[in-house]
Amino acid sequence: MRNLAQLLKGNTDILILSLLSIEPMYGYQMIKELDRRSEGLLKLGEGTLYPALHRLEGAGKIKSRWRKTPGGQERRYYSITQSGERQLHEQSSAWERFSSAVNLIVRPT
Amino acid sequence: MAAHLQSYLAELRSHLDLAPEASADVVRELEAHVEDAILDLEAGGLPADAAADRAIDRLGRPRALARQYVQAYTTTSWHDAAMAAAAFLLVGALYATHLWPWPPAVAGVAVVVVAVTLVGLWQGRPTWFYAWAGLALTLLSFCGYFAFVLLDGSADAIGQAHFRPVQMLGFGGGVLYFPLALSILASCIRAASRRDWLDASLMLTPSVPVAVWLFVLHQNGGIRDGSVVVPEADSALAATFLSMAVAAAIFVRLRSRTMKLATMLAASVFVVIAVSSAYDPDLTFSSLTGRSVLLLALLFSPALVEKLGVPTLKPR
Repeated sequence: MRNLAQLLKGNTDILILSLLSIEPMYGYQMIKELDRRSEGLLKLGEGTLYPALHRLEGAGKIKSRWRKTPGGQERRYYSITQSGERQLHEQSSAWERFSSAVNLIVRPT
Repeated sequence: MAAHLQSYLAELRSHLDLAPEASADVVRELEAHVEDAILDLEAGGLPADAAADRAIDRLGRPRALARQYVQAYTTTSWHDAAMAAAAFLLVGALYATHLWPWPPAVAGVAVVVVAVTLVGLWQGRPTWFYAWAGLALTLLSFCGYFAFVLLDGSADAIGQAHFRPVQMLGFGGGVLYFPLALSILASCIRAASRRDWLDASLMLTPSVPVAVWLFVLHQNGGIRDGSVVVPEADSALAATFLSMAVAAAIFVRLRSRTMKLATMLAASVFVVIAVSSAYDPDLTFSSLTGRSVLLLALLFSPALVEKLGVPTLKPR
């Protein structure tokens, strides 16, 4: 579990950008969605998520605005920018190459 | 439950060394997050108080969380610092090389300044943006100088009843320019102050030496003749912009708002002393103090704008 937590910390940006490339989301929604899509394996903490969101926003990779949820509450929704899309594409490609290389070593055919 | 959450948020806010609007946004977002977490935990069968305690505990210690937020909000790179410094170095080079009377050089620099400012605006106002925006705003000072000269000339002609219609137009244009320019400046200060008044202050810094330079040259016969009468004006302005470049780079790299404030104060006082020494060697201590106070009042005016409750970005 510790290994997963370490891996999660180093890949927070790509996970956030991937989620936001699907649709705009607010923070709690992202945590739930990540948990659901990873079948409970990836649990992003609030202390990791929100500072990462603000860092990505400061870098122009995502943007935010407050709006009402379908339930009527005010939440800060984040959405990906064009610059964020480019970073996601680059990091996704890099991740695919890296995981393929690791698999070649860890699970040789 | 509410008391526990408010106590946590109050402690978090006390450790957030961010602009007031940013701190308020952080607290508001976390409060909303905890509300959602409590609802989920209650739906899972937990009693309300226990759900609140668990949701708040998940946030971690307030001081540690605040530190992460500050790091996230104030992350800058040497690239950001270099970009901020480059703005002042570009204009300083214009004076250091005495190229400013050459229209293509001035036009080229003006185009670069405006273009980079627009790029910064499109990129969401990164930390280096305000240095370039401040230089773009100095164009208002230049236009103001020409509007003043136009007004002066037209007023003389009108006063002597020897005027042509075009001079009336010039007079009217001159009169209209100043309130328009002031409203543009005020809008820019308000927009910058919404995030952090320190950014607005950084934006105002280049206008002061440019305005003083225009004033000194005008007192000595106008831009062309004045530069001959006051030959040290170019070197003084080049040195001023060089020191502002260093100050801007340090300002952008600093995380602590207190240190940013100290940097701005020190740079401002240095600029006043340096510029006054160049233009007015017989300056008295009281005059120097008066000028420093005026400069600081201008640079801290965005803080007043923020205190007076400038409408901030509110959700729809």
